[in-house]
Amino acid sequence: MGLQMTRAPHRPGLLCCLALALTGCGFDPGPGAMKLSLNPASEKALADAPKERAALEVLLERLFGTRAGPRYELIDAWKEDGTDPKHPDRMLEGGARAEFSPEQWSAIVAANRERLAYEISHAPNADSSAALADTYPSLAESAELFRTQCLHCHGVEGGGDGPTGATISPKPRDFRKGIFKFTAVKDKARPRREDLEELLERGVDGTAMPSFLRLSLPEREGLVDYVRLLAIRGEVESLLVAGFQDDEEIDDAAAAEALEIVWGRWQKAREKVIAFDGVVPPDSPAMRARGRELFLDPKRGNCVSCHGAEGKGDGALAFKTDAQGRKTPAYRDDWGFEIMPRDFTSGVFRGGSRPIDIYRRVYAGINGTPMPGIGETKGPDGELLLSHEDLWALVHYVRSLAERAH
Amino acid sequence: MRALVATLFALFAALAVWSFAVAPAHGWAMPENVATLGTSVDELFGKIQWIVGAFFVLTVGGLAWIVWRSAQGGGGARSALASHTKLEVLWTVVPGAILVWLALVQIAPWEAMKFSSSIPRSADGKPKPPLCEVWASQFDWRALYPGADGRCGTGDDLHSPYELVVPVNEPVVLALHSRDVIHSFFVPSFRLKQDILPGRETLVWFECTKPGTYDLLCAELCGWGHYKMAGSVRALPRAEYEQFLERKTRELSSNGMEDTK
Repeated sequence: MGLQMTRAPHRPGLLCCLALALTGCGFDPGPGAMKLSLNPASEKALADAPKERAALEVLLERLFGTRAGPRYELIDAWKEDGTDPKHPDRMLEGGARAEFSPEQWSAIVAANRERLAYEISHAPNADSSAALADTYPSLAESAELFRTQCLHCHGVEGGGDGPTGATISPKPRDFRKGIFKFTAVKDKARPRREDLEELLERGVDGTAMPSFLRLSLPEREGLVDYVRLLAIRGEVESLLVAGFQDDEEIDDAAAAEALEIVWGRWQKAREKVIAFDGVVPPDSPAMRARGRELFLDPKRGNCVSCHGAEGKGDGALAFKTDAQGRKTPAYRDDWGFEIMPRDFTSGVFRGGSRPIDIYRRVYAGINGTPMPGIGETKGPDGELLLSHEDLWALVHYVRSLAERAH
Repeated sequence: MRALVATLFALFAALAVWSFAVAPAHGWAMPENVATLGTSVDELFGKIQWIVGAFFVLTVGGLAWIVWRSAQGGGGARSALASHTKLEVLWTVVPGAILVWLALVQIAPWEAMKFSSSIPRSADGKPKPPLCEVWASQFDWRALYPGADGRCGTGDDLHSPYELVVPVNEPVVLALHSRDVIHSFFVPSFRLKQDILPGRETLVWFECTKPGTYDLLCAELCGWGHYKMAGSVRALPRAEYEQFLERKTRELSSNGMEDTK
């Protein structure tokens, strides 16, 4: 008796191990010259128009390049005034940086000195070390960073359709609409580049979007450039498709016009910043009481209708009862997902929890969602419904709901 | 063939010794310790490493020697495995004694690091209150500093995503929280690792001895994004730490005008 040891040689297994040891087990297809695909919505709209579909693909690639080689085709207006979104760091006549204030640019240079300390200290001469500190990532470099850091949720074209995106809630942002929820601007304007950069710094609390402070400032600014390119590309694409549906041609002229329109939208952001020119009225029991009154007043704040009397996000308006008698969200956001009002008692404010952050939400609402802004809403008498004091009272009340019981 | 195997065994032992010897110079070892408690951890680690290393060389070296001798035709006839009581007692008692000894010498560092009675005390003799709360969630770290009222969870809290800022050269107590699943607060440079359970406040303390920025990692597999759940700890001299708090406090009372420039 005795255990018969099998001595079958495991050659295939051995070979696999050897192959792995030699090649490494990483799988990295590299950026390649992969194309950016069309939005599934465009594919659907152009399903019976293969010629237009092909034209759209060619045009988008000419205007915005590929994944490996993203670019902007310069429109006439840019050629005239020297704007070039490919190079937001470009020096303009007069010595100013195109899209950065002197403070922003010196912060970028300082970040480079920290990030590239080794390279700078080993540079052959002072000129090349200064040039290193002045580096700004190109669109292609930022696209590569996007590929490794953002793509798995936000998708190749920024459609929010990356493989990981399917597993998380809330869903990753689809940039292609150009709509970003948490900005400092009103009138549903596009975000400022600062808004996007701040979002990378802060992350979105309560979601799978983390802070990207571990990347350096120039890297984050570069990501902002690339996200903006994907957003603008997506907007141009839908404008062209919408034009086609109105019996217009998809051609060079239409594309240039669309790009000009979309770029105009992004340029407006700077004039639309919500700020309060004065000292923020401090939090106090009286302010909170006033805020609560407005919160509940159906004719003024009317926050209660969706956010509920206790701010738990359970207001009657936000829910409906389906055929089975279950309570389900009544609204969808612009991306087609069911949406529920924020439960303030959770203590989570996705767009930032400073008073000014909440002020901006109350003032201008949240883009792409049913949350309206009431900062400039006029009452039946033609006067503003809420004064600045009223708005700040609401802000303090809403923030007080997030306080923990002690 | 046996000679080759014996040589490989011997090489393996030599390689292991060599890699431990050169590790610090190549940055393969732990990062520099910059916390008071880390010294005792490193000492303990060093002791264990010497013991394990010695036994490793002894066993692998012995194995190599036996295989080599048998390759040379030496060693006599093979006999059936028989028990050898003295040997068995030896290899049970010696490792057992070493384990007991390790269990004894780790008590003091463990107590200093983990016992609630070891939380540093303020001048009034009470345990030092936490400097801030650290919130772990899938998949990031956020520090929450109390404002003027000294309590977290109120309107004057200061939020610091990703970055935990602490004063250097003084004991720092942190209150760890998780918003979702079990995470683990790990700062390799402080030799500090502590699991965080959702729904429970866990206190840790350390004293960083060198200003700088150190990695903060999650050391408990917490989901698909665990690998990227990173943060940083920035240790600053007291005055700069105060400036950080002032800047955060200023941001809190912002009226947004700085964004219009």
